[in-house]
Amino acid sequence: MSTFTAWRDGVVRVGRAPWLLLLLWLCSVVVSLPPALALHAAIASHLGNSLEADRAADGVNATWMQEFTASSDALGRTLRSDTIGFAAVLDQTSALADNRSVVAPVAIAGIGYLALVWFLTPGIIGRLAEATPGTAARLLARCGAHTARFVRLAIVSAIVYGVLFGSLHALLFDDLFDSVTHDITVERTAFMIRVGCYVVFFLVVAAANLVFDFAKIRMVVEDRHSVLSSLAASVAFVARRPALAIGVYACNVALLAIVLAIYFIIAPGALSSGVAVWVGFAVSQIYVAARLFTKLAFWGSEVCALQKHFGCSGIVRG
Amino acid sequence: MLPERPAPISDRQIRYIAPDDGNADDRTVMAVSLPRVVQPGETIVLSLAWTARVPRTFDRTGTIGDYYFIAQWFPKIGVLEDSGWNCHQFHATTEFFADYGVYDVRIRVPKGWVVGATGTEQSRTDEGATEVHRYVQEDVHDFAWTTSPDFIVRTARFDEPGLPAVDMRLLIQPEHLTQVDRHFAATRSVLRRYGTWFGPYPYGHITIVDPAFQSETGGMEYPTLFTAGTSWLISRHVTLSTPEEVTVHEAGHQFWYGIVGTNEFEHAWMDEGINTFATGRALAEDYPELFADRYYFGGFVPWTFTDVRLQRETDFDRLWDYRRGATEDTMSNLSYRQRQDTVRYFAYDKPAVWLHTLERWLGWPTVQGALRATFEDGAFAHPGPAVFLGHLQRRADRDITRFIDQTYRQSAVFDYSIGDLAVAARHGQKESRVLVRRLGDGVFPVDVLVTFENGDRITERWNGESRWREFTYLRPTAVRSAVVDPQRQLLLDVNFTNNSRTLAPRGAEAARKWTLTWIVWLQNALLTWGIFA
Repeated sequence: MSTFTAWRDGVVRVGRAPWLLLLLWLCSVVVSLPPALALHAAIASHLGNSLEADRAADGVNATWMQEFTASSDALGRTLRSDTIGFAAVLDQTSALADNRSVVAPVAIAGIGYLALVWFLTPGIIGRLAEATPGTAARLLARCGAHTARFVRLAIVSAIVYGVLFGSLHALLFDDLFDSVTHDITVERTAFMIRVGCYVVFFLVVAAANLVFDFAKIRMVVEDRHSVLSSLAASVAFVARRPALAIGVYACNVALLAIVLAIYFIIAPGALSSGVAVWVGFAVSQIYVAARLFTKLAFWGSEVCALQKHFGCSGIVRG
Repeated sequence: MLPERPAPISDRQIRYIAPDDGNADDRTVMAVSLPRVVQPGETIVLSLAWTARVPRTFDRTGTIGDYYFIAQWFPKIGVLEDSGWNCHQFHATTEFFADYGVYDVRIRVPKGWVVGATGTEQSRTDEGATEVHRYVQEDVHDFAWTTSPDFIVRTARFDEPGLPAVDMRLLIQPEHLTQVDRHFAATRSVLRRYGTWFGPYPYGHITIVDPAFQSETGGMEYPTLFTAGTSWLISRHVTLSTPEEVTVHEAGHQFWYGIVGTNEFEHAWMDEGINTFATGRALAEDYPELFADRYYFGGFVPWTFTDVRLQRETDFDRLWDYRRGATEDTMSNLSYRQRQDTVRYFAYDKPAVWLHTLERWLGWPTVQGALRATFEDGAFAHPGPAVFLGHLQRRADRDITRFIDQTYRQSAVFDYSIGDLAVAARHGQKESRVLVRRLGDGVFPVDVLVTFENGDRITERWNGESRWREFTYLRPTAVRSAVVDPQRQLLLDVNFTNNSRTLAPRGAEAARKWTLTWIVWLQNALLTWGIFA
């Protein structure tokens, strides 16, 4: 089985388990809804019976948006032009790459989403590792059975990512980038150096991500209880089969890039009203689903890669 | 007349003074006692030798790499007014003030380096490894210069019927070569618009400097020379980050700062405020499509929001900043006495919104006439606020004293709103009531536009004096909506959303639309964070 075959089989497995996609999508919706409802109420209250609502409904009423954000709490202040179309992707990706802080309501939603996904991950990986469809009860049972060990892994993961986004990021962007570009008078050169910093940083983050992914998979597929042994096994696997492990990861990164490129083209703007708003929202949800499919494809293809390494399908132990 | 022999000035004749705050540690103003009194009609020559170290660029002067921008680099003589010397200490929050004169400057730089300076180059002398560039300019109140081996020089000419021709010289960074035409077009816009509105640009030449990356010298004006500022990656549209806005603004200072030499220590609004107002007007005339933008990834990667068009009254007049600081101070307070964190509101933001309000209230011909008269009176001189306010009152078709008191001498807050809109059946007809309220302390005459279900419209006039005014209508059709200040004359109003009310509101629809947009943004955040899951 080649790297591409492992990736393709993983994608096929995700395609055969659409309710996993539905589950993750629901997670994103469930977490988004409370702040969204609060924002809806705030917008409706601010607009009241004002005629400014007409322009806000038909397009972008920058005057009203400014007045709204100026009088809003942290949640309301996030309603900026960055929320429109593909700018949302740039805004969030840039925030991550530049380690920009987020406001409390968004941080709470993010933590809630991560907690949900971490809880569901064993069940999802287990389902992707099995040849035959399981039941929701079986998925949840697996989630429950793995909760403690996944919490421990989440703590280790948080520490590692904390170090990467705290110390390494500061080292690269606050110290190295600033000192290297201190006397540079050509923006293009400074930009290339920054791109280099991004590449280095995200290669390290991707390496950590890869190790944690395989650690999760080995925890589930081999029913490992020890976080350390799972991480060690993950590192050993990547070291032993780098082409396979990194290859499927790279294929998924490419898939993600394709999804983003398509959304760059079709992302709806804000000049619509009425039914067109719902059409735009539907297009955006298809994009969200595609991003979530990509997330599942990472796990699916990594499961396939591991099973190929073991030479067996399904759950190895347990 | 020249003295018979030079009279050296001893250290004892020099002392530091602090006319603004008496700070004994301040060393920014030096008073020199002359050996004898200068009699009326006499001329003296002062020779001043000094050395200065060029710092790394900060606050728009210094050097970085091979780029030098040298400003505020020589001792300046205070301005002698009828009331005495006007010579303020250095204030970090203000700009400067000097008298007009003739500058004849020789600049020695490495051979082959490009030089740009106030005035025009009169000669270039080869000295082997170096060259001496001689620049001369009459009738200016400052002199700045720049040099770098990296500059690429481009020239163009401004030719407009009815206005004097101007040779434009652009010193541009190699990485911005594709933006040459945009710099020239923006400069032409100013020379044409300002030249027509206020008075012609008299110098015949102008130098545009594209500053080096992270030099902190962009967006600054000097006589016959200014620094613009742009990025390597920019939108093909015109945005606040592309060279147009900063170029128009700084070129505009050639008129309001360069030709009209207002006292920037005391009345910063007279150059920054008037120029911000005129910048917005020129941009709106020559760039009808301007979009919002934002830079991501360390400030390097631009994104243009083609859904979000910039507006003169909000984005170029800086309405939002005005609102932030509306009550922090007054425009009439001397700039150097204003707080560091609020001075810009009263130098740039409020004056621009204020002038635009005046334009909408009194009409452009009135405001333009007052500005033109100020320009003519103040060319190569130092007019104060009274000159402009006097011209404005003389041209206005109504008494503006109260408005000037409220907005210039005080910080009145304007906020008119439609407080209620109600309809009831009465005698087989519809009785509609429109309640208009004045929520702020500022008073301004306003129109109230009332629209009925059948499309009929009534415009009511209200002097805006009392706290509220109710309009009642008994008609076959009910009122549908009401707007106070429908033409939006009173841009100083701090809340425009409450200026209107309708009985067919679409607030829920708008809230739904923007909530759906926001949900996707939040989902994007979650998906991005998903890397950690």
